[in-house]
Amino acid sequence: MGRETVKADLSREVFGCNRCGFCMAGCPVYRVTGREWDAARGRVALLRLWVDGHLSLDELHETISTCLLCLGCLPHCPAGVRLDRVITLARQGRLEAGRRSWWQQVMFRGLLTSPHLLRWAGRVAPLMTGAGRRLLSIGAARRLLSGLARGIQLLPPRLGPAARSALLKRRTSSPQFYYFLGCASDLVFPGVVRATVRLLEQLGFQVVLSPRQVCCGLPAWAFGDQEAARRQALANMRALSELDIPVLSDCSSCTSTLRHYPDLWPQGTPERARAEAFASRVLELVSFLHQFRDRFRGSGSRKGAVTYHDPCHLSRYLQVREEPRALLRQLGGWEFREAAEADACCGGAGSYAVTQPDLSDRILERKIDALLRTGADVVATVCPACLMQLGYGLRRRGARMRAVHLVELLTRAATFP
Amino acid sequence: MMVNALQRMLGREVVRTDSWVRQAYGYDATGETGLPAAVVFPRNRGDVQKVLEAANRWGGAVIPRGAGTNLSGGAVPLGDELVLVLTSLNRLEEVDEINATFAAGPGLVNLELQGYLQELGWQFAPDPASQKVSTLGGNVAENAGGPHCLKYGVTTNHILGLEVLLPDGAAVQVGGKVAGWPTYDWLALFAGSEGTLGVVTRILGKLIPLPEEILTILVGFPTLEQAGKAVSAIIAAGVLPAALELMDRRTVQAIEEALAAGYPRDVESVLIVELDGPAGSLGKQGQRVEELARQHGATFLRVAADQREREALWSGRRNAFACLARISPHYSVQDATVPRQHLPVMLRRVVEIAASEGVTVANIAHAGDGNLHPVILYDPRDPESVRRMRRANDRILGECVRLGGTITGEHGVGTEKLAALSLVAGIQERALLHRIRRALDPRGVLNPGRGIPECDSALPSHPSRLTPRYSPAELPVEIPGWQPGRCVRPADMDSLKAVMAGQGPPPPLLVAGRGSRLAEHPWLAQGTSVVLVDGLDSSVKIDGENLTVTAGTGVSCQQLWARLEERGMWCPALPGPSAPGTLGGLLGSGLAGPWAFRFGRPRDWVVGTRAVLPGGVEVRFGGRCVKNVAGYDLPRFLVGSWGSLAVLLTATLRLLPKPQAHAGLLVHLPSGTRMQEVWRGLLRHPCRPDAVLLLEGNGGKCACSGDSWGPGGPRIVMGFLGLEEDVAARCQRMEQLFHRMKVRVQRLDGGWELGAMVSLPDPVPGSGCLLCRLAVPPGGMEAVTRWVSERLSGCYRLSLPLGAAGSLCWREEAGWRKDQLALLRELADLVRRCEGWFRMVWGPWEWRDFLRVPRRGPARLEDAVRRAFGAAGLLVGPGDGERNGEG
Ligand SMILES: Cc1cc2nc3c(=O)[nH]c(=O)nc-3n(C[C@H](O)[C@H](O)[C@H](O)COP(=O)(O)OP(=O)(O)OC[C@H]3O[C@@H](n4cnc5c(N)ncnc54)[C@H](O)[C@@H]3O)c2cc1C
Ligand code: SF4
Ligand code: SF4
Repeated sequence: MGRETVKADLSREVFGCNRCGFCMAGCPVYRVTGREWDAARGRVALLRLWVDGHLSLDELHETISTCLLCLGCLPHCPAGVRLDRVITLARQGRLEAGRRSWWQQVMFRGLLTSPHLLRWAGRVAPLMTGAGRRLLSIGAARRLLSGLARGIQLLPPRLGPAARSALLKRRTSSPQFYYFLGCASDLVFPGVVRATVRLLEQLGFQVVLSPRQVCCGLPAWAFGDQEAARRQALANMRALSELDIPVLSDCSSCTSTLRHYPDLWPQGTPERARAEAFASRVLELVSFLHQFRDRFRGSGSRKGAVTYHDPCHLSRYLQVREEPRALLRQLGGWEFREAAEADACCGGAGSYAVTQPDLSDRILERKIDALLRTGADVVATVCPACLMQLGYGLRRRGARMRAVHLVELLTRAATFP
Repeated sequence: MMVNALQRMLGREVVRTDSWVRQAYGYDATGETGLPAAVVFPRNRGDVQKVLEAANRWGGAVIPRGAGTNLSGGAVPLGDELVLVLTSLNRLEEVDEINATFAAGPGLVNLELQGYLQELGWQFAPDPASQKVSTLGGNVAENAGGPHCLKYGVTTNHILGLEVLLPDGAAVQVGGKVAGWPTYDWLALFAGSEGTLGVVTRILGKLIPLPEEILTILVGFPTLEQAGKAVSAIIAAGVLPAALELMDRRTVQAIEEALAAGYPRDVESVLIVELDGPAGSLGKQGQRVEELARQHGATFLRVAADQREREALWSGRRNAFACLARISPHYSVQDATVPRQHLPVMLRRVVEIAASEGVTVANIAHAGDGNLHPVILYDPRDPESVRRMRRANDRILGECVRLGGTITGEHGVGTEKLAALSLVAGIQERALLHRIRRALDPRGVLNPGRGIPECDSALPSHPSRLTPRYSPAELPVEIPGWQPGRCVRPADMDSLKAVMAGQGPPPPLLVAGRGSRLAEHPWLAQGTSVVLVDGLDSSVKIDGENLTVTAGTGVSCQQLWARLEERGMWCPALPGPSAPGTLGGLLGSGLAGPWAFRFGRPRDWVVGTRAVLPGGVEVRFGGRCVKNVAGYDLPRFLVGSWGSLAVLLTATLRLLPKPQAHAGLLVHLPSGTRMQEVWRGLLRHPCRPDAVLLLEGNGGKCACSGDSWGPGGPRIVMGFLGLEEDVAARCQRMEQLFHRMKVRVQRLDGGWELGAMVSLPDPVPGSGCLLCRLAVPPGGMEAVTRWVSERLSGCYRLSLPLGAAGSLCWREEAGWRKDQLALLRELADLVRRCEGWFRMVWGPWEWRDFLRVPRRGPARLEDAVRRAFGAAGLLVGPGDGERNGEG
């Protein structure tokens, strides 16, 4: 795709914007900065100027990279301007102009596209972070490697062994579901993976992990590397089509990405048709579990209060808002408390916490404030990236509140005949 | 130069000059674009001050900016200005629940404030449809309205104080936690000034309780006109809905396509009628609305079943413009406002004009206020389409002015309506507006090229060299110790103009109506000539359908009251059936009647004036529309100016249908009652009364009025008025509230007499009494009443109403001594510490130093404005007592 097509696509995407400014109401970045170019209206206005040749994408680097792709603006935008498309197109424009960094190359084209490397990463990650922590205990190194530092702070204090190898070793005779293993679940929250698989099994479903499954492609897609995202999508569609069974994941971002594979190709292409067929096999975990809600009523003894954080990919990309709340409301022993701005992005947004540590922190602060105001003991969510970010925010405050995956609460409450 | 210096001073992160940053601040919610020289992100008030100082020093221009959602081009740079982004000054500094106020930075987003307040059971009434993004600073600067301003009023009715940085960077504080400060009404001037007079850096606003119950009725009509007529009918019936919004078929379809908000698609127009009030009091009103709607041909009627359904409807309404943008992303929103009864005609005219110009139009209106927002869809790439849009807009405005309307009800003049302003403001009016602007901003630093058009700054003076004819007059009151100069009554309008041109008695002139409030005049100086203007115009023109009256200022308050009563109406600006003096005197003094707590002060009811300026020129400001933001809000500003700026000839006041019922409660607070607790419970109560007065007397028989005030100790009088079921419900709930506090409540007879009781007659000068005016916020009332009861002897009566200034009258049988003056000083200090104000109205003339209104903060503003009006030297005004220094 050439630069001109990017421009043409972009100008179609932003055509509807009438500058009402209502998008500011939903933008977590604008909320903490109050700067025009951090809200959709400003991003759109500036990119229009690029399309018309008045500004270069290099100049617009900041506005292009500070968007969380959280779509907080979308429900407020009566014109339905999709910032996810607008910004990924702009990022694509930048890549096409040769603005690609070595680490993006390594990540998107190498590591995340290879099942073997991913398995290897699982093995070395705990060692690496240990070494990283020791290195960063030296002040000078911390300053030099601030991005890395932020990345490591995000991780929970102890990393267990990754989930992938163990899952692959399991033998299942006639699986009913593919379990799609997200990278963050794999490396950072293997406990969540175990809980999800166990819960599904207790419900009577056998699941299997495909050995050839790779990263869902979201990181590459978000960085504007559509080519790499397509490659990963193709690899996954191949890997997950050996059996004609539905796909489930405990990571909302992965689920949403798989569901949106068709958007990677233009209308009418054979790839798109394939992707559509594939997407229709992708189920969303919470809505799926919601069908079995009677099993998760739990016991009556009081355990505490729980609040909920909507992952962007679940609430806005997949439009699932009520089901997780319904499950939490009926959870025996737990009192559900809605938090203010519960559906606002936590500022994790994939690598955002690493690339924009300052903004990410400020967005997180606001999020944590809102969560703590509920006085709940636990915040539940459905995305490991959010879990990492919320966990980090709570630890840093020294708060008593813990961040857990919804599935972990359900597992504990589950009763099976 | 300036930008570099600022960058050095504030840093490159605060002062940005990158081209892309500047481009991001080149537009607002209007279509135009421009390019500022730099964008400044001040971190605090100090930064704002430095920017203004630099702009003064180097001749730069500054555009303050909130969220940039205004619809008049107010924040679009014309070239080379500094854009001052105030979004970071967004701290909610204080929520004072005892005084029902909040203080916040200008960058705080309206809805975010509402979120904090709602948790506590409060709200800030202004709710522009843009509230989820627009800032409080922007709301004040535009005097924003919103769907609910029909019942609650616009921004200017809900701000109590402002901190403003004047164009040269000097900070002034105007207003405070109480109303009616003895100076000009600066809040009226700054609200709606579109950032041309100062940068608002702190807002002190009023809190009102959230309504207990809300009833939202959706009505559909087969024509636009029927809906328009139903609007007038509902209001004439005495139902005052919280909101009355109208949308046409095209708008509804756009909303339904975008949001599926739940509107009927098969009608030509819909009305959202929202009622709010105490629990259980809305049923009858709801029925009444339904009946009226049916009588006017409604074919669809639905009551929103729950909060969710109501929210969906409102979300549709708030997003209406933007939903239309899905049809065509470029639209122009008009803001035409007409007297309410012309709404049906105007709606029809809009459709006709659109058809004849071949443009697509959608009609949205704050119908209850007669405020139309026709939205014209156009294509900016097609010059013909742009031309047609412009022509249609011009014709719509022309038509609206022809019907007695105005060019902007709430969106402001900005850059877009600079030219159109001449439709409603003649050369004299524009000259005065411009002079006021220049008086405060001589270097043209703030928002040049918008808001107020450039206009020859010389006010033309009265051409005729005619010798004024006038008769000598006598003052109705004698003020011991004060010797006026000549006292005259001009025979006709021309004579008045000649007097104002300086051809009458020697200046300075003290202008009064009949003179019955003279004793209260804040700037009595020895030997000043007095001009009584009550003989000039006492006409009364009631516009029943629009609910306004236009009256000559010579009409007596009693007569006006009676005329209104005949027609089944009343005006809350009038103190009661037997108020003394003329309308002019009432407006000149600006003193509030008993119902101020709920209905505000006279300034809140004035929408238009005709006045004679110094020099003898006649001007008109405002009109008959209940919402009007074309130019500075001079009709309001002139209220309470004691004739020191201009002579008011006529005034147009808003009216209400006469209330069906009155009720009153009297509560004796037992000793030991924590008054703070009483206010805390009462102020936030959704059933709170319409008038509240705290009384403290020492139980004697008042020497002046002959009234006896029963046993001593503080007591609270509460008044209620309105629809029968509403009054009954609220009265009962208030009784319960006090019963829970174990306080006995006594019912008072209703009727206006209650009003008379609430506004106790003031003693007359020369009676040996001493009269002070003071305003004390609820939080300070306990301290002040205690002080008064412990320290004063003799006969005294302290009355402190909520929402207006109160009074203290005091009489010592033994006569006045120096140590009593010291006591008064002590009290004045106490009141000031409680964030109120205090001034002695009369007493021993030798204490005249104490009679003077202390000129503190806004003295500089007072002088500037008097110069702008050309009043300095001609009319007695603030500071004059000092200059004359009689004796
Ligand atoms: C879809 C839509 C619906 C709207 N609905 C309504 C409505 O129902 N009612 C209504 O009244 N308006 C409405 N508006 C108009 C607009 O939202 C209001 O005028 C709002 O008050 C502007 O606030 P802002 O923060 O965006 O101000 P801005 O647009 O940033 O500024 C407006 C003007 O005020 C000045 N200004 C801003 N802040 C300050 C300050 N602190 N001190 C001094 N001057 C300042 C600016 O210089 C500018 O001239 C609507 C707008 C849109 C886009
Ligand atoms: S809400 Fe949508 S239409 Fe309005 S300014 Fe933002 S992006 Fe543009
Ligand atoms: S996607 Fe999120 S971060 Fe980006 S503009 Fe929209 S609300 Fe802001």
